[in-house]
Amino acid sequence: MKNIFLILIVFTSLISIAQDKNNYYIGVNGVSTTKGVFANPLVGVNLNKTKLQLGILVGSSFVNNESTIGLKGDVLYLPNEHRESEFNFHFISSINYFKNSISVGNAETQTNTFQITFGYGFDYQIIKNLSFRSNIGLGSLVEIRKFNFDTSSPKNKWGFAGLITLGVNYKL
Amino acid sequence: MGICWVNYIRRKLQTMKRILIICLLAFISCEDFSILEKDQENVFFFKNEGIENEVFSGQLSIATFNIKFGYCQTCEPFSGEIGGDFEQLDRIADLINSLDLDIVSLQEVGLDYDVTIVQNQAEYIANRTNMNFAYGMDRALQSGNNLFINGFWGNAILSKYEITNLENPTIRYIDYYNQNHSLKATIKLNEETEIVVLNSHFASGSTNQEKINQISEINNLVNQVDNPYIFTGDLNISYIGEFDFISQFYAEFDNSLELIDINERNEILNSGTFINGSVLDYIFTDKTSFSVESGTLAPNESWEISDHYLYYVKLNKI
Repeated sequence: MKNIFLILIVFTSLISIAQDKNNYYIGVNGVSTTKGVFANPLVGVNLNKTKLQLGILVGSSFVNNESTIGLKGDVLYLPNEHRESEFNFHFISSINYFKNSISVGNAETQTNTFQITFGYGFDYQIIKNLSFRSNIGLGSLVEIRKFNFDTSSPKNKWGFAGLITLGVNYKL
Repeated sequence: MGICWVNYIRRKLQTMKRILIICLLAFISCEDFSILEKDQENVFFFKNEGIENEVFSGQLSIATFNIKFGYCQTCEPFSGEIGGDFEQLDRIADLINSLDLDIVSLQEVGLDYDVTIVQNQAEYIANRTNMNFAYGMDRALQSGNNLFINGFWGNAILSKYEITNLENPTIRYIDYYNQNHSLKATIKLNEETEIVVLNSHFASGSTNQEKINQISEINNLVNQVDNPYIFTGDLNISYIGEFDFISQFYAEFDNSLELIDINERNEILNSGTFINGSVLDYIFTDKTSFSVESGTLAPNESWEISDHYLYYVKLNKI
């Protein structure tokens, strides 16, 4: 619970800072990943040919179908710089993290999931300052697990990761 | 001016529609891609399409058999080789028919496993034996060597009597691809009598603590049951070498192996129920509802069907 409050405080502060600068934007994405489906409110900054954005993940993990909260950060590279009147394609690298636990009797498995993906997407300006964004990515994930019981199962597990996002951004 | 705006909005909406259709197609195509498997999914189901009006005489013959996905004894179901064909499943069905069994618990039963010829193995064997069936996943299959060969590894219960309820609780969890369940079927023998049959396959390579945890979960499951109950399974715990674990069932269960005739028992202990000579497959009953009349392994000529041998007992309902 302490971590959730910390994430919310950091995120709220970022939004407050972003409102003071006109090269910032806020947005909300729907994110479908290999291990869960999330809403992703975010704050981003436009740099020269890149955008950086940070947000929280609030949603449901596929691991136990229970609600969880996590973090997501993205770096976008726009080969065509900032075009505001048409499609603008971008490359995107994303990292996300969330945690969950499953108990069977007294045996508990805690799983910390880190996922890194690289992908491609586009922005499309709907009206002034408001744009639609979608991207897909592929990469890998690592599940770092903690058990409160003795097991020969590996503590870390690597796997394939996929990511699909759809959302809107509003330029401040 | 107004017409310009209408055309502008119409063009925007058409473009948006195309984008949404493309995104939807991308999402749907990825949904079928194994990397978006829903980890929490617990697959279990039952069908009553077998014998109707089977009359319960008071006696039950019940078996447990690990069928190894319908692969031959020396074949490897996880190597990517094709198996689980009609011929092999027919041998299993013929064996069940020849023994005239009322209830059969099967372990390592494949469902939608990409490398097996028969995709729903429980249903196929049930049809060939004219029995009702229940199926529950043990774990999803996706090994590192065969990332795109997917399916389910599970347990099945075949019954000549009607299956009225089914659960598939988890008894061990590491992740979606490394977990174990206990298939728990309620079976109606007649209007007055229902019994609960549990079927589990304990994880191979379990540590001592994992074995204790799984045994504890089974004991907890039957504590919640009001009806007479029977527990069957491939426990991957050797009767001879790991009796301390087996004895942890004895607060809730009788071990049929200890209630059968001494000669029958010695035969089973001498041969084992697994090809390496270990007794790993068990049938337990609750302590008050059944008496055990006999117990034995299937005839020797059937021992090449799988790497386990079918073990069956005749019970009388008290």
